[in-house]
Amino acid sequence: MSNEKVVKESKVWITASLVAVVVIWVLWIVVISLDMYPLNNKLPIALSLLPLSLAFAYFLKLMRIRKSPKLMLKEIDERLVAQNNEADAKAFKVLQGLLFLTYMSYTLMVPTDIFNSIGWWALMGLLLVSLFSQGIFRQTVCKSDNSEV
Amino acid sequence: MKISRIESDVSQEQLAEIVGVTRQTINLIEAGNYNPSLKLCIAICKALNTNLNDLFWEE
Repeated sequence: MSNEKVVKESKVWITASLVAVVVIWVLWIVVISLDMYPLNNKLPIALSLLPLSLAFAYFLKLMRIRKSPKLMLKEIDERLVAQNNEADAKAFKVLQGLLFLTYMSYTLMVPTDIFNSIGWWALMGLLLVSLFSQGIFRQTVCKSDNSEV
Repeated sequence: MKISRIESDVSQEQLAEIVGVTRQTINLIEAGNYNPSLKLCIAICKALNTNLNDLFWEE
């Protein structure tokens, strides 16, 4: 990954996260002004916490890179990038395993919820997405690699 | 690679900075504990003013 790519990626993440926060708050103001739902006031804070922290993390990363360009080497070093990718893949496998165990135990322990509860459907959906997304993304990457030839 | 780098009077730190990796990566390549990509090999060759054959080919 080149220097420009790392900076550009960080800026895109910051912008996207801030846009998400703004959208959440605008929607919240619209909901309140229209008096549509009697929702909890803590809801927009809780929802915007994640994108805000993401934006903050990328902002800190950008600041560190600007302060010391040597840190950029850690972002573009192919060995460290490969190590990071390996760690990401392992984390994904662990999460997939946990999801599978949760789904199996939930299905076996609460059979009345099968095909009935939203929680069961959500869990099954997540498990299926985790199982198929890897193949789908691999195919997408292969297609884009072939088109570049 | 280590010999070639010393002959060119370049430190690990300097070479790392030229090719855009950390000093540790250069150290691991020299110790034979990391296989660099072809792209990095070419960058190292250019930095040390040599070619792939001389730098990485083992007789």
